[in-house]
Amino acid sequence: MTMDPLRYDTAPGGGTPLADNLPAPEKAPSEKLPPGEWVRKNLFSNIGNSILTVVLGIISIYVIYRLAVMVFVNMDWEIIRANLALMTVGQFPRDAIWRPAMSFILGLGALGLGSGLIAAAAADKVREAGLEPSISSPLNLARRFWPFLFVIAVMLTFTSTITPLLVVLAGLLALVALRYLGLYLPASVRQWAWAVVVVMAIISFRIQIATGGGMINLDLTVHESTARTVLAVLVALGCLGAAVSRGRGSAEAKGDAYGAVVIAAGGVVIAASIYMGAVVLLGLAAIVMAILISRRWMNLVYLAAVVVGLQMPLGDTGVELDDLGGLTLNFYLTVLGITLAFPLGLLLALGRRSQLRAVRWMSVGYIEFVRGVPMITWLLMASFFLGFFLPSGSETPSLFSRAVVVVAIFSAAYLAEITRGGLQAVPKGQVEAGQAIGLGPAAVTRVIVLPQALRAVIPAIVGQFISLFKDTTLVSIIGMFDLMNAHTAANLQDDFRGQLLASVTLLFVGLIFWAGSYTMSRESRRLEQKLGVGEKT
Amino acid sequence: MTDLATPPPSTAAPGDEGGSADIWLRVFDVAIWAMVAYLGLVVFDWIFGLPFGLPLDLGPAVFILSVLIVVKAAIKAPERSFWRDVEFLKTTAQVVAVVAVLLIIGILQGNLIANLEAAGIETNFDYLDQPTNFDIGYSSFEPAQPIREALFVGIKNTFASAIIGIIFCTIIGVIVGVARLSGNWLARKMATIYVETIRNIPPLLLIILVMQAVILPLPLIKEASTPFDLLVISNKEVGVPSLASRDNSGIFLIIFAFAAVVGIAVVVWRTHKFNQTGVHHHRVLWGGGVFLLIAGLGYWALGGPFALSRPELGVIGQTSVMIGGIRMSAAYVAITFALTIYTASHVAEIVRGSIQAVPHGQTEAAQSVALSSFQRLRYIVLPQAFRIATPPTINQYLNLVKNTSLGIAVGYAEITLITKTVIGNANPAPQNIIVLMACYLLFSLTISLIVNILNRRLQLKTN
Repeated sequence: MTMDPLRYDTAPGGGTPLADNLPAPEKAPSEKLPPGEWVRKNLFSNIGNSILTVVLGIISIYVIYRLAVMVFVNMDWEIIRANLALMTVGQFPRDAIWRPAMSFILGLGALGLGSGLIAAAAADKVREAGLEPSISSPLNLARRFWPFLFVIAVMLTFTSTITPLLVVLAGLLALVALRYLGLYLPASVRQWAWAVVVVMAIISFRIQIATGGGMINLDLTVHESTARTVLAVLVALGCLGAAVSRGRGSAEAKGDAYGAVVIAAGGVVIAASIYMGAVVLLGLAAIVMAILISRRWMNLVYLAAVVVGLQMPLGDTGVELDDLGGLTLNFYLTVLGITLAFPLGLLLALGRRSQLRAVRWMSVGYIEFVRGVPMITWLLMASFFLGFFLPSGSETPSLFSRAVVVVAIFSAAYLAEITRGGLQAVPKGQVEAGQAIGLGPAAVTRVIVLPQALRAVIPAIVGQFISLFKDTTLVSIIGMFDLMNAHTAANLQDDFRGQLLASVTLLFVGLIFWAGSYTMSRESRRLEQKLGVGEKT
Repeated sequence: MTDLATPPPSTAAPGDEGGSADIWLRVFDVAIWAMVAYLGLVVFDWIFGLPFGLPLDLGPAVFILSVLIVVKAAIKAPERSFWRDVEFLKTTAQVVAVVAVLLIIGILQGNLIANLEAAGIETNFDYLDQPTNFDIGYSSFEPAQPIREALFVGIKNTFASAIIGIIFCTIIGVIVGVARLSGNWLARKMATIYVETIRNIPPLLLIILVMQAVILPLPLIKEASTPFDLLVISNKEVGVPSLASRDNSGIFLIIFAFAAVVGIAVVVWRTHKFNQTGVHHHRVLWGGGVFLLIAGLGYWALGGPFALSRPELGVIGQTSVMIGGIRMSAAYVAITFALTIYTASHVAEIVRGSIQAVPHGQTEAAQSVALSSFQRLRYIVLPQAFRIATPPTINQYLNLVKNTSLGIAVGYAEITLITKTVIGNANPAPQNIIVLMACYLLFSLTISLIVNILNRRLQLKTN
């Protein structure tokens, strides 16, 4: 701890305060200029600038005027008013529309609770360091997320009944209320609250596509195909190996990234069980054994939460995965794509930096191959012949699942590159220090390198989330009924056909995408500033 | 007490002891190389076909090769318990990983071929020689030509859009990027609004929006507008003037090339003189002047080998068509324009970031030796910013090339749309997609290689 030489006498053996009555440092004079000077400095500082200002001013006034006339006077917004439901939920049966509404409210609630828990944990850490934490109030959050709220307000002006307004208000209320709940929950209960978040998130997705039973297909007939058995054995061995090495490790990872990877792998296994029945039991057994060996009992609770979320009966909508549409489709493709891509991307990044040459080459081959080809070719492959990779006789998976798989494969390659950047940013001294205290290579990666690496690249991961959100529009080319296809369908309706109203709907769709992406990019920049990414540590 | 003068007993590899272990290692080495050569033969046979049959199939050959590698690593291990040797474990782990991946790929491919055969779809690449049976607009393509020629037309179209896009997006991107840091508030705000709006909307939406809102409302070709008598603008196509060659144009091209070479030689000579004596080189004036002199003399001597071919509206039968000049389809204009704007917004961000990444001390040092702001930009800031900005900008160029695949949404006949049409004409889908991926992969791997070489050369050499 160095002593500030302005306040303390730092002579050897010394360390006395020089003066207790040093005046408090004054604030620097404010930089705000009076209006006249501001205009002169910023707009007309020299001849070149003045001409530029005049020219640009004329152009911008003209553009704003034309835009305003176009938006408020000339455009016929009736097409949006009539098709708002089509654009947000696609062709969902209109009598069951309470389900997407419930999904919206539950999703916002889970988001609020999760954000409250994260903020509370961060505030606790800040308090431990002796400082005062600053938690964003709802007003601050509203200011931060204003594009998102603006677009919701715009969408609400196009509604004809009061129900959407009530749904939106209920969702925002759930968000704020559950955030406060998460903030003020006692620390011991917080882990259980995370299980509740998991259940809410899963149900918010499932409530739209519930078909009587749960999603876990417990068909236990042993299929004659080797592929499923091989996959099941590999996954089971992987989970067991993870748990065994985890139990042996001498350091306890606070972040528990490893446990999360095990659970995520298990989640993938369970999700895949929609097609492969026998894999489920093996996967579940492997995960339970892994948890028992590692003795992290909370993971049992999370596993139970996942299973409950997937199996809870939610009525029968008769809606298949392929019937999801509109903005909901884009959103779920993004979220599911990035979530499934995370474990694979992490493994690829670690593989790319591995000492083993074969593993490194295979990782590089995968990453360069997937990244070198445009996303649309992957989607074309998914739509034409991805189902052919499954053994003969199995039913073709829905287009939605195929699109999610392809999006996950694609995002994994990009996430691998991002994570590799983060891994490279961790100083080599950290690894050497870990080796010096006797940690094995797996433990060094898990306990020391990964937490720092992931923290450094969270802004870049948010950037990848934005890219993915924008890339989900490409599924309209393979025939899925997302927001872009909803715009095309709206323009083909009898009332609006041939009236060149495409610009109207396109502007509306563009506004929605812009709001989502702009909000996320502001969050990413804010996270960068907060985490000090790129600054010298 | 141990004698410190004598060295400890040797733990050298068995090869040093000579004798049987060494011979076994050599034997296994030979066996492994033989197996690798045999695998090469199998792959060769799979691609090109050999006149004779091969005894072992791919699967058993790979298995035997992995066993050989693992056993050799076990023999090489110095201690008696080879399963504890780090090298052995590493080798075994790699072999197991590769074999597992090959197994999975083999199973997937087996499933694919079985399903294709069950559905009656061919599993070879013969479709490439079949006639295409559809027309590609704005090219000299006949429907009777084989499909591989159609794919070449698609690649040509992709590059036609990409190259123009790259050139213009760089220009616009640099201007907007510098404007974002300008002292003029209005310029700064407008550049920020441009970047933050365009960067956050999907490229597909931008392309369709440009098509709907900019191209389609243009006048019909009957009443096309002809500004300056040089362009023809309609909602079906846009015409720009081109150079039509008259007599002696071939000779002029040779003279042109010769003038370019002489110009470059003059530039090199002037730079050399500058390095020797310090007299300012003025090499642009010298080289450019010599080039223009020779090319101009050649042009005048040959009596004007090129003429300007203006696009004009003509009538053939009942329809108005455009004659002369270069005809660009509406789809081409839409996608090139949209991708230029989209990529320019990304390039602007990169340029801005790279200028801001130049340490502020450089700017302060430049100010302290009284360089004007233009001199500061030109000699100090931009050269360093260029080094930082080059790799991500080349990545954006790659993204632009990959985004031309979105031309499928506006009907631009680039390679993705042609592939999709070919598939729609009852050609096998997997082979088509593989060929499509191979085209893009070839281009992006080349660009990646160039970026890596550039990265290494541009990096500051710090000890």
